[in-house]
Amino acid sequence: MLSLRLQRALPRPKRLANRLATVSAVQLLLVTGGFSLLSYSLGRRSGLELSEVYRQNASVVDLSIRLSSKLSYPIWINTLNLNWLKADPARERDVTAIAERFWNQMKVFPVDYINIGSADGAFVGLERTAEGALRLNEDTPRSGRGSMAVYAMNANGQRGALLERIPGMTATHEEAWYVDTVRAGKPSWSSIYAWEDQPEVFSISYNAPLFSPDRTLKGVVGVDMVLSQLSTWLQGVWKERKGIAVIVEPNGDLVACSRPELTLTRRQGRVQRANLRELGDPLIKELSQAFASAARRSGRLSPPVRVRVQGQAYTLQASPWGEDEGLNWTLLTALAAGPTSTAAERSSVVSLLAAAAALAGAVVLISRQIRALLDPLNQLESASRQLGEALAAPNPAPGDSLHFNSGLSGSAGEELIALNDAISELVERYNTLTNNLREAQERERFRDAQTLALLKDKLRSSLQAAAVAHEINQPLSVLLLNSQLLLERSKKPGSPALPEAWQAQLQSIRHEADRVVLTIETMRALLRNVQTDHQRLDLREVAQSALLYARSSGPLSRIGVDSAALERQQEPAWVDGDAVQIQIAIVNLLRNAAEALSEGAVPDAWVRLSLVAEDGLWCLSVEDNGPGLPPAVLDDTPLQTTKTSGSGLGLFVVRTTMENHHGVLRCGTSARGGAALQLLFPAMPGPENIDQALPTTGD
Amino acid sequence: MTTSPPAPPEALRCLIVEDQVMFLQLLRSMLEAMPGLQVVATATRQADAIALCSGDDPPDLLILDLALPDGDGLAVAQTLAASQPNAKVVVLSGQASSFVCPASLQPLIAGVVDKTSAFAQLTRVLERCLPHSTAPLTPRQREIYGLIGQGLTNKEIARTTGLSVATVETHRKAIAQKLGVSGSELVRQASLLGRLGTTEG
Repeated sequence: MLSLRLQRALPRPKRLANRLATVSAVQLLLVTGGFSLLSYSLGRRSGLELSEVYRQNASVVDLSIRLSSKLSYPIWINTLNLNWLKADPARERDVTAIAERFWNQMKVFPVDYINIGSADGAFVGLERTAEGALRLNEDTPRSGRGSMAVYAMNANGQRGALLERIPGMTATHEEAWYVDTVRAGKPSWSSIYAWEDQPEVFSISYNAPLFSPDRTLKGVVGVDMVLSQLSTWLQGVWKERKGIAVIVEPNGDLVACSRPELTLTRRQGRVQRANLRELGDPLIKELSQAFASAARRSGRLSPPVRVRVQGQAYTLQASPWGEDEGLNWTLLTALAAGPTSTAAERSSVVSLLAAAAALAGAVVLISRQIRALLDPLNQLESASRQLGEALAAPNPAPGDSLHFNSGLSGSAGEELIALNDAISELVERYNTLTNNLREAQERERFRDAQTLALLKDKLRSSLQAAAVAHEINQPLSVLLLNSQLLLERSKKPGSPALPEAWQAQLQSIRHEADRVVLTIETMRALLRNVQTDHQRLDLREVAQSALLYARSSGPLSRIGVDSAALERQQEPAWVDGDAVQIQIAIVNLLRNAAEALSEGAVPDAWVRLSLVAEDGLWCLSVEDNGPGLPPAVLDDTPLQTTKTSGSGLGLFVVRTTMENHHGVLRCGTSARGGAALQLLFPAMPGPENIDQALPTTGD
Repeated sequence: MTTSPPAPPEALRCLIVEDQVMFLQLLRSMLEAMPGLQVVATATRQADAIALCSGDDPPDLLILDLALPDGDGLAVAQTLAASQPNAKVVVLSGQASSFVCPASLQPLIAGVVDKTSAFAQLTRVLERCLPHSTAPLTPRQREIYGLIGQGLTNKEIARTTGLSVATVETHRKAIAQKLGVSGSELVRQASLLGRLGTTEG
């Protein structure tokens, strides 16, 4: 209680409910705020990502359209040239006209080479050099067969000076553009090949066979596009976008790249086309993976993939292209994410962190609150358990009061402190009560001990008195027997006669001694009734024993007792009682009856002792045919007697005995007009069978 | 413990067990004066009494004090009951009215006698035990029997009791019949018993 008072002096503790409400509100704000922020930022981000995908798609579509448009020029040029040649077969040998036509077409269209090869091995082609100049390559009868003559072209499309003659040209056009077209027998794109005269130049060409009306092959016309030119074109198309665009063949070889320097590589001293898988550029590596996964999707459009390379986010896409033209190329694009998207990504990361922080804050808050709630509760619970154990202890030593100390601090919350106070107060009241009870018990025990000591004293003196009575009886017996023998001897014939006065004195001694004996007998009976020694006994046995004594003594030996009814009682008459007290009572009744009969000088004196069951009682009756009981006895007035010699205590002893046995003494008139005294004892079950608790009614 | 010479065949052989020597001597002198009864032994201790009762020659009658220095005396009665089923026991006690006799011993006990009334009660009880006892007689018949023993004639008895001579004669015949004796034998027996004093003090 001292600690509690100290706590009261401290600032008032917060109410637990208020604290809980506050904490819950803060938690709610933190959690909902964090999640709102997160979902807003994620929504914004997904919107931006969608727009990014659209931007990517737009780029790819644009690129695709432009590529188709670029690759459609060779098709148109071939068609025009075939029609021009078919219109006048003589033009096939007019090299000048062909050169001029090709020159005009090269001026208009963004292609790199237009040529015609005849079945007899003649060849006319117009080439655009890397510097943009146009050159005529000719292997005709006009220029001389077997070598490739390179001429400059003037401003009007006329053949100029011979610039160079390249010997050792094959007679049958061993290059892919011719061989593939002849094999196909229809217009088609050739595979990419290195030029025979310039092996570092890779090109792809669209070629068409020229047939005579009888379907004999007259030659092949074709248009070349040089791969490096295609890359340059792609660079131009892609230039405003950040990222990279690559066109690859199914085996991963680069066709073109928005970074042209990547398309060629030098291998074993020879310039060769680069393969996507061999390039070290990190973005190209990502594209290579996207291409591999797109290949597994067998030509279908792959969804865009977002990657991050060197701190920059890119959207990757692989789109198949040129299937209709028999090219099976793949357009790979990596488009850098726009600044908005990047910012959105950054802000979504920030908001994710913020939401996580809010959640962590909420968790910390709630765990702190739980600890703040649980710790005092645990303290209370532990203290309560100790209290319970102390209460359950079987026999607490005196002066051992209960203790309750939970050690709660002022921060435990008002409600818990109130609970703690309530328990402490209860414990204190319990201690006070148990102390009071213990003191009361002590006082009671002391009083009982005093009473008991007093009773013991009384009992001891009673027993001493009884012992004294017995001691007196011994010499009295000798005295009485002696005086009686003396009197009798003196009567015998031949004995010296005693003087009259001596005889009278002897009689007087005897008479007085008899009175002492009677007094002692009564006193002993009374003392015997002070303490009742209860045990199960058969009333028949006690009655027979009493009869045995009564028949041996006094007037009853002359009168005789009718005990036929007692003999007929076959059933044991169980009662809970003191055999000696009951026997003395019966003897008293029998003696009273005998004395009444003697004094009344009744002829045909009759005394009957009987024992019958009566409604759960055993009824022991002593009846006679004497003058009957005086009204005073019938009116239940003890200590009165009609006997001149009696002290009136005989009936009193009987009454005391009946009280000791929770029984009743009934006084009445017998069938033969004399006294009838009945002792009624509560019956008890026999030892052999508790069920037969009550005796059956009968005589 | 003392033993006496063998008793005549018809006499009841009596053992007195009493620890108070003076009282024992008085009893002995009283009982030895009784006809038809011979005190063959006395004992002051229960152990001696049991030895006498379980021997070859147990007594016919046992006068037994209950308060013995080495026991309550009932063991003696039980021993006698076992060795001599026809024997009788007279219990003598300073607190006779408090002695509740066990049912098993009741058939054996001829009487329970107060020491303080020893003379009168013992005489009365022994009268019933002796052969030719007056026990079957009514009180009136017993009175007349007593007067016969005093040697009174019918006429004198009639005058003493206030009865007619004829009534006295009728009683006299009934007494003789009940006791199974002839008229002369009745006079002899009555005078014999009369010496013991059959009247109540």
